[in-house]
Amino acid sequence: MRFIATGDWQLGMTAHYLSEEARPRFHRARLDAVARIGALAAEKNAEFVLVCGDVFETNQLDRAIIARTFEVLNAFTVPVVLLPGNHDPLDAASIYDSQAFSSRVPSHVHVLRSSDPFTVVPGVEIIGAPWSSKHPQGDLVAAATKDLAEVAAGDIRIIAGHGAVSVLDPDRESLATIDTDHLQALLRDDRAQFVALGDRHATFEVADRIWYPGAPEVTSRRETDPGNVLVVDIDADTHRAEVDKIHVGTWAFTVIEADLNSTEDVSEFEERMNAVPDKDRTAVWLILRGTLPTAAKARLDEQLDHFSDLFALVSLWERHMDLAVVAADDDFADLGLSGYLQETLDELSTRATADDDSAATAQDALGLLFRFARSGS
Amino acid sequence: MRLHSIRLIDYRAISDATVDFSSGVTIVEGPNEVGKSSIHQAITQLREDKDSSRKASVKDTQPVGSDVGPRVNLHLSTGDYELRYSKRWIKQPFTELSILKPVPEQLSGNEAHERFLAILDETVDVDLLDALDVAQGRSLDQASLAEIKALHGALGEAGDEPADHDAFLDRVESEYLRFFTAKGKETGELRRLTEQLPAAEEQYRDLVARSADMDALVDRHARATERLKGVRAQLESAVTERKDAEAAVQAVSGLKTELDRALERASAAQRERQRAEEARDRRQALITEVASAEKAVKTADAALEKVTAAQQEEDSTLAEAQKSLEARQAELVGAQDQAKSASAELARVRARREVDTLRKRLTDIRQQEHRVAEAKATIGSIIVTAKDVEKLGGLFTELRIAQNAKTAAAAQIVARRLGDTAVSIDGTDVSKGSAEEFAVTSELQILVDSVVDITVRPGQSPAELDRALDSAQIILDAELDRLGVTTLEQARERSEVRTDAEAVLAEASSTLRVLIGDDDRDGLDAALTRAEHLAGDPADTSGTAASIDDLEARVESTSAAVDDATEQVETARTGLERIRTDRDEARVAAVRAQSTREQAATTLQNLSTRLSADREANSDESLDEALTAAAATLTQLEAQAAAARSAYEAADPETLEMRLQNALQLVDSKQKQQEKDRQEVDQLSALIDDRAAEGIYDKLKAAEQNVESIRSKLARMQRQANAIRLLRDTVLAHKEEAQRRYVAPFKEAIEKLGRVIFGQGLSVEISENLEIVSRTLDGRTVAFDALSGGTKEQLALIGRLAVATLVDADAGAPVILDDAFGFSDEQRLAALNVILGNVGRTAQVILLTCQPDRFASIGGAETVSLG
Repeated sequence: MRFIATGDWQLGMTAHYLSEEARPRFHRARLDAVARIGALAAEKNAEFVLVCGDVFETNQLDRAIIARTFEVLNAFTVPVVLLPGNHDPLDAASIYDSQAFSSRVPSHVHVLRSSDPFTVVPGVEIIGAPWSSKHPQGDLVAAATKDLAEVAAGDIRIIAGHGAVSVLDPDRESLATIDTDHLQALLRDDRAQFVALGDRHATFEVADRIWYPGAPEVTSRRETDPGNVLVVDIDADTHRAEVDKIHVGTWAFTVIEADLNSTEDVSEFEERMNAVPDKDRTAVWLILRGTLPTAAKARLDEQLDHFSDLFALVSLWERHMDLAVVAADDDFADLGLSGYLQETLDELSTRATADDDSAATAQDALGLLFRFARSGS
Repeated sequence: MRLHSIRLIDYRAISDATVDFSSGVTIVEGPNEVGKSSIHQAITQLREDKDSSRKASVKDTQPVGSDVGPRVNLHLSTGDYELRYSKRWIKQPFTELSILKPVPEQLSGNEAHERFLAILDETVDVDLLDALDVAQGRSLDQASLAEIKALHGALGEAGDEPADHDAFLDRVESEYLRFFTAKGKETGELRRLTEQLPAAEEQYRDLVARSADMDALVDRHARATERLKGVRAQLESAVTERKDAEAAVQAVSGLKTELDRALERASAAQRERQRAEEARDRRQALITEVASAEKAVKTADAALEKVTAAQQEEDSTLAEAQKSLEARQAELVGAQDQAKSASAELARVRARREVDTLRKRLTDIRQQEHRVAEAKATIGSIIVTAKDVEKLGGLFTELRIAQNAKTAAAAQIVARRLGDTAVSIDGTDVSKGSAEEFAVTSELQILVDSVVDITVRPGQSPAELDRALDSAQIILDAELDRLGVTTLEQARERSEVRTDAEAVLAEASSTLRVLIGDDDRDGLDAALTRAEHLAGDPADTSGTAASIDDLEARVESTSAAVDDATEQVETARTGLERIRTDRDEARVAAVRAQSTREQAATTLQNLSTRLSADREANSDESLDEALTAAAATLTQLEAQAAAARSAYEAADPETLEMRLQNALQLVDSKQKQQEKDRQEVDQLSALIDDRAAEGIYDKLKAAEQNVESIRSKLARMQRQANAIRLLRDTVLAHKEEAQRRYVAPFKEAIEKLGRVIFGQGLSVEISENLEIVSRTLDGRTVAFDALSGGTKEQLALIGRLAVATLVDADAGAPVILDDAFGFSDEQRLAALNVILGNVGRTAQVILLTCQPDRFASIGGAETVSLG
């Protein structure tokens, strides 16, 4: 039996930090990723698709997203099973209970509203641990699975959960933390054959047969391995499982670090940036360090402007930036500055080396001086 | 540049003149209209206007009325060049340039023109040329020195030509104006973003709050749902509790029924015992009653006997008393008869005496009454009273008075019979010797017997006298007539008769009153009649023997006898009555005793009968037994009731009741709570559904993006703005400083020259355009434009002269002053002469004037006369 495990679609999510032009594309990209999952399911002959929570970014979404989601899901040729997660819990505002959802939900789309066994295809049942609020008072997966009996040979049982597992959870005090040992016990006792979890956006194998498939499209620059789904094969008789990680994401969030201390460094940096593929689907956070002469800095600024037009985002990660500008004599010698302009240069150069915030302004002013004087000469 | 000489041919009023210039000061003098200004104009025209020019200013230089072309030849050195440059305009125009040095060359036409300009441009600053060339009437203006490179070169440090930074400054300024207004306020995009940010942040905050509200609503909903669930469970347990309590109460109610029934039975036994006791008590009472009835009958018999005997005794006593009374009554009647007869006799005697008295009295009365009647008749017949008489007498007197008045007014005849002859006057004889007087009031006849009969008639008497007399007469006659008399005497007589009658009447009336006294007149007649009746027949004189006193004594004694007899009768009667009362009482007592006895007998009879009957129904013993049995039953049933009560109370019905009530209330309150919670859940659901449809997240993200976008743009803008502001501030500060340093030599030159005129206290402020902004003299600063015309002219020209001294002689240009210093007084003119002399040592100065005396004291000056 083969199915696709995925999760954290985060449909409706926006990225305010992206450029205005990129934002709608990024928004659309999540739906496109879902469409690719549908195609992948067909291609791989998967029997169903299991989405482990956070299908939607929030319950407070404009309901228009539902229609667009169904439009994509209608193209699926296999059942799609949705698990409500912490972003889209089955609370009073649940998107799954909205008129827009319940009145138009396609027949092959199923929502795990309780932990009752759901037979998605003959011989395969899914035990879901849906979130009914944003603050569960316990390990939902443990609660949903505690009374499970051993699975008969020929049948398969899959656990669908959402949340941080105890071996990963940085917040050990959280009531909702999923007990990894319990999961392993379930598998060991053959009371379940696979555990698919949502919440972590990067693909991650917690333990044998316990997986976070991750988000199919990147959502944050912190994610280490996003953009994947899992194609899972389980032998109904032996209950062995094989997991194949398939990349479906088209976007990349990248952090580029560079030490810039000369015009050559700037050129090298340019080359690195130029080499990035799919620039319009790539957001770049730059961490630039070093000390640049005014001319090189002016060049850098021009290049950054240029890349900003190409990339979905080029952002200076200010917190980590440490780039200083010095007025190197070489830069200005060619300009033939004289009289009070030379004096201005001298003063700004001095100021640019100050230890306070005024240095940055002085550096910028030097850049301007350089630009104006250069173009005027 | 130095000018060596100029030749003007057919130029304006000049047909042919040559002026040689010295290397220092050259004073070109000539009267007005000669054309000294033409020199100035010719130099300019030579440079600016091609020989082909047809401009008005060129045409104007053609001599008036002659068809020749004006021509100018100029000999000058500039830079390394020495040149001769000639032009003729309008007629046979030509241009010729002879380059003498450094390489001789000959050019003509347009080529010569262009080359000349090129050489000028190469060697001299044309702007300087213009600036130092002061046409007539322009001397008050300051030269435009800012653009003069030669001057800049002279002023620049160490001869360095300063960079032309205008383009840079323009860029700085235009960049600055992207962010700030000329006054330094934020503008454009920077301002727009700054202004937009608060609203965008506000909107973002609102949406964040709204989103949080939504989450809070969902949380509240979850809590309310949880509560509802809890309250449902509580309600269920309350319902169970209520059922339990109701069952317990039901069980207790069975015990209560049993208790009630036992109590009822005990109560019935109690009543039964009561009834038996009462039956027995009634029997005992009946027996007692019978005994006392027997005793009563005996007592009544004894009493009856005693009372009957007493009654008989009373009866006999009464009969005796009756007889005694009758005897006393007979005695009384006898006494009464005697008394009566004695009284009658006395009355008769007394009546007789009264008849006599009354008869006599009435006779007197009648007599007096007769007199009264007579007197009244007399008075009635005479109406004349004494008063009338008196009045009548008055009237007579009045008449006499009237008559006397008339007589007195009438003629008086006094007659005295002289002789014996009888004389009668009016029938009156007149006595001899006496005089008789007569008044002629009417015809008066005087008759002397036989002698004469004289009739004297009275004259007319006064009318009022006649009328008075007539009136008195009439009144008198009327009174007499009324009184029915003719004379006063008659009246008086009658009056006296009447008066007498009135006296009689008074007297008789008085007597009558005395006689009648207080009695009624008519009563007297009646009294007489009555007395006569009482007196009876006067003839009967049988009793006359006894006197009234005897009779009265007899009456008195008989009356006393009657009183005694009456008293005895009363005494007898009283005694009789008393005895009768006693006898009646004895009789009543006898009847009553009889009745009592009969009643007692009847009662005894009845009671005895009833007792017998009762005993036949229930014997006394059976009644006692029934009572004993009833008491035993009661004791037993009361014990049963007490047991039932203990059982009931042991079940604690009050606690059970409280439990039930509490359970009922609990169910009620839980139902209400459930309803309330359910409503809250519904309300929250509705609210949440409402908000969920809003798409808060999308709006929130849009707002966040907006804020981020504005913030990042603004940060960029601010950074740029700060940069350009810093650059601008810094560059302007340095520029100002450079300017200040730059104009320093110029300032010094002006002040050096100026002090010759204005003294040591002079200083000037120079703008960056190298204009004199103000003059400060002895601490007092005045703006250039506010200075007097003379001072302005002097300073303006000193400015030019200063330039001339600063600029290198070769690179410089001659100072040409056309008719300058017209505004200066002698003293200042002298000072100016000193200045010009000094300047002339290093620079070429050409003064065009019609008053050469004004420049007479310039050392080293050459004077050239024109014309």
